[in-house]
Amino acid sequence: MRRRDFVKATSVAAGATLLEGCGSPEEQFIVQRVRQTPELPGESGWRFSVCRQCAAGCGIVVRVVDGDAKKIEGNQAHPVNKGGVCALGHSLLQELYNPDRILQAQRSSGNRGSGAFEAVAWDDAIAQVVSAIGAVPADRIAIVASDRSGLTGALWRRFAAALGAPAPAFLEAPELEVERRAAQLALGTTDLPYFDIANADCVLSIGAPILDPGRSQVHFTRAFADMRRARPTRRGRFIQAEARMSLTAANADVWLPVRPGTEGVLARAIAGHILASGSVPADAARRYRVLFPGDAPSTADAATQCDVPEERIVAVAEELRTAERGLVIGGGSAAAHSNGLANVAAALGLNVLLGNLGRVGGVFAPASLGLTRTVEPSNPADSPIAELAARLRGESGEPVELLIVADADPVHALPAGWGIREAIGRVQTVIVLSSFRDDTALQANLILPLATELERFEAYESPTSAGVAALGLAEAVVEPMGDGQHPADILLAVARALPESVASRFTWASYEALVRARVGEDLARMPGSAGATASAYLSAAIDRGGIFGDAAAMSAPSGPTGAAPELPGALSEGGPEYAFGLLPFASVKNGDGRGANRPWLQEHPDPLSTVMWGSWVELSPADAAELGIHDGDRVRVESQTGSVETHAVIDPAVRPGVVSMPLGHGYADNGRYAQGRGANVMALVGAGRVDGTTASAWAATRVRITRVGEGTMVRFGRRYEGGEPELIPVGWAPQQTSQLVQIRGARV
Amino acid sequence: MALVMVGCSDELPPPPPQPIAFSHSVHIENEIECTRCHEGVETQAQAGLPAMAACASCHRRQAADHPEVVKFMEQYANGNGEPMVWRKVHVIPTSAMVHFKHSPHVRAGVDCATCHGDVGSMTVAQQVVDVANMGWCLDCHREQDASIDCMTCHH
Repeated sequence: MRRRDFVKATSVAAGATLLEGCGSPEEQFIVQRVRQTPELPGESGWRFSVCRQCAAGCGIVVRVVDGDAKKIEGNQAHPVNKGGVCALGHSLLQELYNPDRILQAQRSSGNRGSGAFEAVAWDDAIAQVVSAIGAVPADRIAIVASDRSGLTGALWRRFAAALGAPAPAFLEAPELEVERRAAQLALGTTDLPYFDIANADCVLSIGAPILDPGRSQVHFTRAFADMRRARPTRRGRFIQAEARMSLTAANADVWLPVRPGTEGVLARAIAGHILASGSVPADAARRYRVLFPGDAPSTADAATQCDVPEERIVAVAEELRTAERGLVIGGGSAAAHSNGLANVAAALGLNVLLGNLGRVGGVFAPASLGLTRTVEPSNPADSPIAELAARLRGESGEPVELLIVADADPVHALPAGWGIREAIGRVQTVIVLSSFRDDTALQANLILPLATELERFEAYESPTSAGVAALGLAEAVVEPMGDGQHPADILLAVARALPESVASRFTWASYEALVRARVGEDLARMPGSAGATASAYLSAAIDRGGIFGDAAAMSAPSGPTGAAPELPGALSEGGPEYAFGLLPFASVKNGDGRGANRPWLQEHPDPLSTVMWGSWVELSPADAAELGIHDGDRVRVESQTGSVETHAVIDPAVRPGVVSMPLGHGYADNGRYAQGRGANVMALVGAGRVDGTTASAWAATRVRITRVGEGTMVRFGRRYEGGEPELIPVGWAPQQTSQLVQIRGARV
Repeated sequence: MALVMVGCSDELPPPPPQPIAFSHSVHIENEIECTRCHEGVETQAQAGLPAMAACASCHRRQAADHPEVVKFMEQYANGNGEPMVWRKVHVIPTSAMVHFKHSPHVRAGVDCATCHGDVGSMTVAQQVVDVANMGWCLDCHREQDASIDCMTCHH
C-alpha cells in the first residue's frame, strides 16, 4: 500500500480523528492486508533488485515493510559488488519517493524550455509518440539512449533498424569509447577488459579513477581493499598517475601528479626502462612492438615532459618490473585529452610487457552471456554521440526532426562546445523518457516517466568489471508510484502500435517476456543450467538476484592488434590568457548529476573538499595567492566556450596550473534539491575530440579564474558564516514535507 | 530522559474508532486463541494481524449475516484490493526511539494481559496501561530482573 493511499484510507477508516502531537500518522495505524504476504504487517522483508544508478549494475537487496521500500543494501551473491553499495545506490530511495518525480506523462503547454507542462493520459502519450514517428521521414529521426551494453540497448538498435532510422547513439562517460578502442589495440579485446586488481601485488593506474564514482566504484573499492589486506603476508601497492588528487589518488601509496596530457609519455618511458632491463621475455617484447614499434622516450625526457622527477619514474618502473604480479590500468582523464587514445594504449600495453594477459592478478577478456544476440541487428553499429550532435547542429548527415531521448540527459552531460542546448531547441519534436525535468526533459514536447528499478522488472548485464558474466535479475519490489515504466516496456508499447512492418519485429509482450524468452532460447549456454528447465532456472536466478558466470571461464585477451597512434603533445583549447587546465570529475556527491536531486547526496560532503550543497573549483594555494583568492570566495571560471560562477576551494594537494570542478551541478530544474545549485562544469568544456575517436576531449579545456567576491560555502565540520541559513524541506514522500532539515547554505 | 510522548495527554486515551466493531471477547468465547490471529507474537517483533482472506475464510460461513461481518466482507470482496486500516490501541511513538519486540516478552512468560489488559473480555479493545510510560516498563523489567540497559529497548 502506498503512503498516499494509506493517508487516504485512514482518513476514510478513522474519520477526521486527531493525530496532532503524537508523531507521524503511520505509527497510529496497523494495516490489515487483503492477502497473505510473506511478512506480517510491520515486519521487514528483503527483496533482490538491481541498482541502475550507474553502468555498473550492482545487485541490491531492498528492505520492504508493508509494501514500502525502506532501506537498500548490497546483494552478497552478485559478483560486481559482493554485498557493497555506494552512496548513490543507498539514495535510490530518494528517487523513488522524490517529491518532484514525474509520475504521469506530460506534454509541453508553453514554449519549450519554459518548464510549462500539462498531464496527458498514458495511452494518449503513446499515441502521440507513434504519431510523431509517422510524421517524419525515418532518416530524420534520432535516438539517444543510456544502456549501451544491455538488452535495452539492443532493443533500441532493433527499433532504429526497424524504422529505417540511423542507429541510436548512447550517452556514456566519453572516455569509455577511448578506453575500449585502446583496449582493442593494446589487448585485442572487443570491450573493456577485466583487471584482476584484487590479486595483483603492484598496480599502476594511469588516470583511471577506479575508486571514484562512475565505473563500478563498489567493485573496485572491494578489489582495492582485497589487494591491500586480503593476503596476510603481502600488502599490495597502488600508484596513481594523474594530474588531479582524485579519491583514487588520495588512497594510493604513491601519487604522481603528472602534467595533464603527458600520461602516455610516462607509460612509454616506463616501458622503455623495463625493456632495457632485459627481463622481458622475447615474445612479450615482440608483441609489445606490434603496439609501439618505435623507441620509447627516456626517463629523463619523460621527467621533463611529465614534470615528475626522473628518480620517481624509475622507482615506479622498477617496482612494476620486480613485482610478482604487476598490473597497469589506464583511462579517466588520461583518456580525455586530444592524445587520450595514445595515452591509454601506452598504459594498457605495459601489461603485455609484464606478461599479464590471462594471468592471476593480470588482465582478462570481457565476459558476457550474449543475450543481446538475435535481439539487435546482425551488424550493430551505434551512432557516435558526436555524430548525433553534428546532425542536431545541421552540420552533417540528415537533419533531425524527431529526437527520442531515453533515460539520458545529453543537454546537461555533453560539452557546451558541442552546442546541443541551442541545437535541440530547433528540433521539431523532442520526446524524452525521464523521471525528472532535467535539462533535456525541459526541452521536450512530451515526457514519458520512467519507473525506478524498484518498481519494475529489471534485467541488466553488468559490463565486464567483475570478470565473470553477471546478469542482475529482479522482479518489482514495490508497487509503482505512478504510470512510469521500464524504458524497454515503453519502447515495446510504441513499437506494437506502429505499422505491421515494425510491430511484427517486436512480438514480446513486455521486457520481462523478452528476457525470459532469451534466457530460455540460450538456456544451454547459461552457467549452471544443466538439467534445469527454463522456468525453474529463471526462478532460481531471480531468487538469488541474477545469473552469474563462473570464474573458471575467464579467458586471456589475445594481445595487441595493431600500432597505437604516436604520442603527440596534448592540444588544449584556449590561448595563453587561459592559465589553467580544467579537469572535470565525478564526485561521490552527485555522480554525473543523477544524485543532484537527492538531499542525502547534496548533504553528503565531498570526501576531499568537504563541500556540501553546491559546486566548487579546486585550485592550489600558489595559484590562489597569485590571484588574490581565498578559500570559499566566489570566483568566475571562464573558458573560450563559456563562463560559470562557483566557490573556490584551496587545496594544497592540487597541482599548480590545474583546476578541477565536479560534474552534475547547475540544473535549471531537475527538482527542488538540484534546481539552481552550483554550476555545470560542462558549460566550460569545448568542442575538442580525442584523436582517432569521436569522444569528447573533456580534459583539454583551459580556463582562467577571477575573484568575484566573498562567498558562503557549506563545508562539513566547519562553521558556517553566511548569515541566515536556508531551510530546505526534506520529506520522505511527496505528501510529507513538514519535516524541515536545516542546512547552512545559500544557493550558489 | 526525554524519550516520552510529547504533546499527548497523561490520561489513557479512549478506545480509538475502528473500521469494524471487532469484538475480541466473541472470538475468545469461540476458543480462538490469541496466537491464531496474532501469529507473530511468539517469534517476531510485531504480533501481526491475519490477512483479510483468513478472516473471510471463516466468515463466509460463520456469522455471515452479522452487520459488522457483512461490512467486513463487503470491503474484502469489493474493496479493489484496499486493505483494512485499523487504529492501534497501544502506541509507542516513533519519537521514543523504541524498538519494541513482542517475541522476547512472550517467550519470557509475560502474559498478554500484562500490557493489553484482559482483551478477551473486552467487546472493544482499549488501553489499560500507558505503554509509552518508560517508568512502567522499567518497573516490570526490574521486577523480572530483565535488562534495564538503555540500548535494550532504545535505538
